[in-house]
Amino acid sequence: MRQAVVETGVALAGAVLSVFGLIHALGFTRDSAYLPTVVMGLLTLLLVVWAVRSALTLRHEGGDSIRLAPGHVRRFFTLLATSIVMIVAAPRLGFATTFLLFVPLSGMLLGYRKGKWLVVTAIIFSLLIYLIFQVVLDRPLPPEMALRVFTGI
Amino acid sequence: MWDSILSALPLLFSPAVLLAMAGGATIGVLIGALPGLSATMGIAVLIPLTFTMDPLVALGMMAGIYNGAMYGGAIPAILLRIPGTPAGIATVFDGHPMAQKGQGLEAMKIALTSSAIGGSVSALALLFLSPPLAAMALKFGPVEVFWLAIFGLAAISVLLSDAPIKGLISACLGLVIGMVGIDSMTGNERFTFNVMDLMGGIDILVLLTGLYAIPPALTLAQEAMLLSRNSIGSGGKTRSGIGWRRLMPTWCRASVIGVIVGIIPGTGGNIAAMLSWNEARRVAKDKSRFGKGAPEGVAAAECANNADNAASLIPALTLGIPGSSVSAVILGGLLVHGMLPGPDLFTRSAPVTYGFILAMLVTSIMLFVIGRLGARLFINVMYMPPLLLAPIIIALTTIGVYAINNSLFDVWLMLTFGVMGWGMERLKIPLAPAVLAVILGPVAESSLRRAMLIGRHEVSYLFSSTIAIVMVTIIVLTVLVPVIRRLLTHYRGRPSKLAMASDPERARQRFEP
Repeated sequence: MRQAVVETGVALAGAVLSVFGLIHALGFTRDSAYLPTVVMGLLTLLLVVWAVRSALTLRHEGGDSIRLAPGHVRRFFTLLATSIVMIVAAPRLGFATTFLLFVPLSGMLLGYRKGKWLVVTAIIFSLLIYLIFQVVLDRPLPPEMALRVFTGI
Repeated sequence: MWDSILSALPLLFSPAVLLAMAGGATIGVLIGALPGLSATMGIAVLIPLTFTMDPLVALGMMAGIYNGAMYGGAIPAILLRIPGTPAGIATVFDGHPMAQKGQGLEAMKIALTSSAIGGSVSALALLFLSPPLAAMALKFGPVEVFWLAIFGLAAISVLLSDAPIKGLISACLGLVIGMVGIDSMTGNERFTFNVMDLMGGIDILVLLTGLYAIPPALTLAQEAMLLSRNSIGSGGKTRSGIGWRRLMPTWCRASVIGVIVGIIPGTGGNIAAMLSWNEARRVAKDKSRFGKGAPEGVAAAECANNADNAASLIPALTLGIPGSSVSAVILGGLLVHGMLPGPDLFTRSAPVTYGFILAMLVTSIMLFVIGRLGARLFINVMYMPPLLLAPIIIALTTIGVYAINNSLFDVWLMLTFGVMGWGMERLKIPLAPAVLAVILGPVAESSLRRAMLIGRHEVSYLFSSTIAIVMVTIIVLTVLVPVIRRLLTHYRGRPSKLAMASDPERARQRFEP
């Protein structure tokens, strides 16, 4: 896919959002509206100019192309998906417990195959996180499920 | 000033701060040695973790990471021909040929010594240039502060990207993000869309962590670059004897270039290193040695990119105008610890401020010891699998951001900014203007409002002082830089040295043999 196609699409979508932002900013009271209106107006203008320039590049030269290997796309979305699951799970299971599962699972799904290192890294990392945040910094974090399971506390 | 320095010394040499500085420098070298990770990312990940620490402990650690990462970038540049940080690009030119000749360890020694010298000179420049500049800033009224903020934004937006329009878009995005929440002057909600969590505005830490820590993690996982033992090598064992005395003039020139480039907003370590390397080649009797393993080439590049470090903090600490992404992140770190950049930093928070400046000096010296003792460890860190490192970075940032306000909303926001930052990097939209705009936007807005009140809503009041007129002139000139650059390229038929220095890929094509 051409870089200019992506840029034109992003710039146009951004310009539409920016127009909505501008309309929203015009609804603020006078003193609060001044800067938001100016900034949203300028942003809309810049995005339109960017879209036009990208479209012209596409028309004249074609521009550079973006080459995304299938593995790149898969790994990007895998990490994003596991991160989302991790954020949902962390308040329920506790952060250290979630990381105990998240680090090896993500590593494995991303393609890292040395099982021993996956497990060792996850245990050391989770222990460090627990020690730093719960013991040293004394941050009020959600209770750890792993601690409940292993110690019954 | 001397009283403040003397009062900062006991704080600086307390065991906790010393440990933080040494730990920070070690972590910094490790981060810099890993291709794809930068000082900015390291500090962005660390800030949430230092939230509960004593300010000087936290700032000492940041100073260590900053100096350490800048040297760490030289390790893969020399051994792998991959700069660990953007500032390491010029180190590749002579560092890697030295490694190919079996002089990798010598190149690393030169890089280390040069980094320590550059970092120390830069810290001294920060120590002696900041107080007079801060005193000058005391004379600034709301009009001057407004124009100063606009200058900071214009400089970093226009100079940091090849396409200034993208820099300006980034700045506008940052301004919008900075406006989210309740307007402190009128009490009205802006861009909150009735979401309670947005009423207090967007925490600068959430934005910094999202924009600077998440994209490198996503890229690491995506590209999954695996290094084999063969591709790295051991650094070589050939000892030809380094002529340290021969490098002294190079260090002097590189330090001056690094400090000057560092003070100019919108530049950075890569530009300092490129200009310094080019200058070393220009004055050399035998220019043909450069690009083929000249020790002076490594010394010039590494000394300049570290001499840029503390100097880039001069406008950030004194005027509140960070000149680079890493100084914007450090500025965020100061704000988190309740320290407002500007003249107040040198009066009300003097012991901690001078402590931080001295920490930049001490960590530069510590770096020399740490680099010598840990050379083998730092080479080995390059084997670390990125597929394991990426989830660890995400996990660390998640708990770090959550721990600030115990808010899951902040974590989601960070992830959103992270994906946005990753997309911006792909579209070559610089991130620094957005961060700078979040910091400077509210400053510019409140100063403008105050100026308009004082000037009874007359726009001409904004141009009523000499300083204001000088600043407006500088802003206009800054905005015209891309036009001048384009004209020069058109007439010369090749890009200027500065333009090439700001684009590592172009620099590599132009200079590399």
